[in-house]
Amino acid sequence: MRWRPRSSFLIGLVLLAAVALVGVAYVGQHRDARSLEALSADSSLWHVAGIERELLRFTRAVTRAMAESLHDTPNPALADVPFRFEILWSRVLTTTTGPIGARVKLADSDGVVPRLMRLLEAHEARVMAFDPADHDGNEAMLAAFAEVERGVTELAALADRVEQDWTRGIHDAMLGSAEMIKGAGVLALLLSLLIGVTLHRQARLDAARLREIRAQAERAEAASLTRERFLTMVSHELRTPMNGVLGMIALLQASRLEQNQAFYARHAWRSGHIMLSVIEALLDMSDIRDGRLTLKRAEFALADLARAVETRLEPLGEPGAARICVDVPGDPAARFTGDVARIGQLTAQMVFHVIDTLGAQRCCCRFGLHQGTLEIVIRLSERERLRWPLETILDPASPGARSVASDASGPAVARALIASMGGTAAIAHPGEGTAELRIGLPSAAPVAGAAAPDGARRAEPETMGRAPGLPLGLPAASLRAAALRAEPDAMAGPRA
Amino acid sequence: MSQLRGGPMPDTVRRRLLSCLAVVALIAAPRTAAAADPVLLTVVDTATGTRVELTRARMDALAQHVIATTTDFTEGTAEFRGPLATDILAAAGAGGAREVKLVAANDYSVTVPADDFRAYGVVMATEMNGKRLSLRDRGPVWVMYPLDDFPELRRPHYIDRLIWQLVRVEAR
Repeated sequence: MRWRPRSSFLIGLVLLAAVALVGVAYVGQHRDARSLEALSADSSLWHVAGIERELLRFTRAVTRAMAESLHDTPNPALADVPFRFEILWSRVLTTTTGPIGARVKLADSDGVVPRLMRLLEAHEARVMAFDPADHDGNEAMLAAFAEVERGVTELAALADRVEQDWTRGIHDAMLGSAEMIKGAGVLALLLSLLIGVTLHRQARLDAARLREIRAQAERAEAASLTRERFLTMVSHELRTPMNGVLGMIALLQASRLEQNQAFYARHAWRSGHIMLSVIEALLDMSDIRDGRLTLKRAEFALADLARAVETRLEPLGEPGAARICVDVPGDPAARFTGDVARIGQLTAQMVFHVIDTLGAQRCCCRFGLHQGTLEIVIRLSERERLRWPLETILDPASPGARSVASDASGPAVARALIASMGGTAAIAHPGEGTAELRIGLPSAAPVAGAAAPDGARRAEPETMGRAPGLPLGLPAASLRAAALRAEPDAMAGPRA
Repeated sequence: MSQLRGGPMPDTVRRRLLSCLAVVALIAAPRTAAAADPVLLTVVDTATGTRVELTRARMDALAQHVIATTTDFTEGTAEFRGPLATDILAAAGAGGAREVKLVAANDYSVTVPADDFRAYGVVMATEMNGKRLSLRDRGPVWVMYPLDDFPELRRPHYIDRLIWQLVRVEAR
């Protein structure tokens, strides 16, 4: 597979390159600025030129004083000689001390400055007691200074050349830096264009991908809708012949049959009813998904509910197999408001699943009222002999649930109905070997589009031996979420 | 010389000699006083035309401050001692100057904003390392900034303001 760099990687690479270029340019610029600053700070040439200037001033002062002495007038230039000597001395001193002295010394290979200093020291006494009339002595002194003056001039010229070379070097370096910065700018422009093109291309790819995802989602939605409609239609179409089959089986059972024939008829009767309940679950799940499920609201006695469950379970029971009991241990006449058919349906679906799928041998279903809540307890014994844990009936994420319980249509519809009624469900283990599925349904459960009728009779609180403080089950919201998660699984066909 | 040491001196020569002695006496008296307390600095307020001559004694009477710093013109760290430039201006009645022109003995000059003096505590040093600055040692007054305390003072245009052999200050 050909590796294609991601746009973020490209952008990062480009930015890194741009930063590197800017860094190089900055370092070059900084170096040039430092060199320029050093050049500006280096006043060696200026100081050597200062010596030359002050030397000239001194010799002129001497010459002028000597010339003035020839006239019979006061000699104002006389005092200027030692003054200029002192100024010259200070200038020479400056070029022999400190960093300036060190730099001048590097350029002064002929030792002009030390020679000048020695000359100053040698003539100090003469200058301090300057006698303009001592022409021979003064001329000799001027000659000595004139000789050094040539050396100073050469030193100044040398310092000038050194400074010019340095300046030229800095100039060349600055030109190089400018070229580098220009190159960096062009490169940055190219990189920016590359980033722009890459981003544009990436945006087009993203847009195409988004369109594809939307199209896929729409196709999936359409396919799902088609499947739902097909399932609904098939379910309806199946019910009619199935009722015919069951009717015929009922007639067959009513006829005189041999024992084994009656056994076969009984199994056919049970299987037909199981198929009917599956078809019913498919239709209900379809209604729930489409939001078409409606719950009736009517008052009923717990005994009515127990009978409804018995009626539903009666054809599903396997002869000679599990023992099922449906009981109202409290007041059977106690009344509750709700959809008795749906409550009976969800209870029967749970019980049937516990027996048929999980493999419980004994199962007892009890109804009671507790503080206005209808409590349905489905208790089974010998739970260690179950094929799968009871928890799988509620928790699609529990071990083994994905393949068994959560995919079963009955519990999925039951969970959805419990959630629709605002109820809760939980698993408890009250004793050794026993397990309970506890379902709690509120009397004032929200009913689609209907308010609780005024004056509705409230049932008296009853207990069903519930352990004090034991939570009844999951919150309605979480149960609802669990039920909704289970729906697609229940409705989905074999996964591709 | 032989005439002096030998016979009587002619009248013309005696008169000339006496007049010379009188001139020397007249010049020597104030010069002796001046040598004792020479004028180091002349401060001129160009706005008012006021001219104040600050002698060594007068400068020494001002509060003395020390700047210890390295320079390109001295070996190692040197201690420069003298009055603050702001005190000099104030003593000359030019404390409100915005800028000053500093003139050296060799006619070198540089113009400095007076804010420099306040911002950096610039000293007009008359001593370096405990020794009075002579003309030969780049004195008697050397304008000194605390170079080591402020990195920006190492820039060339600040170095140019370290004027030595200062003789005249023109306040504007």
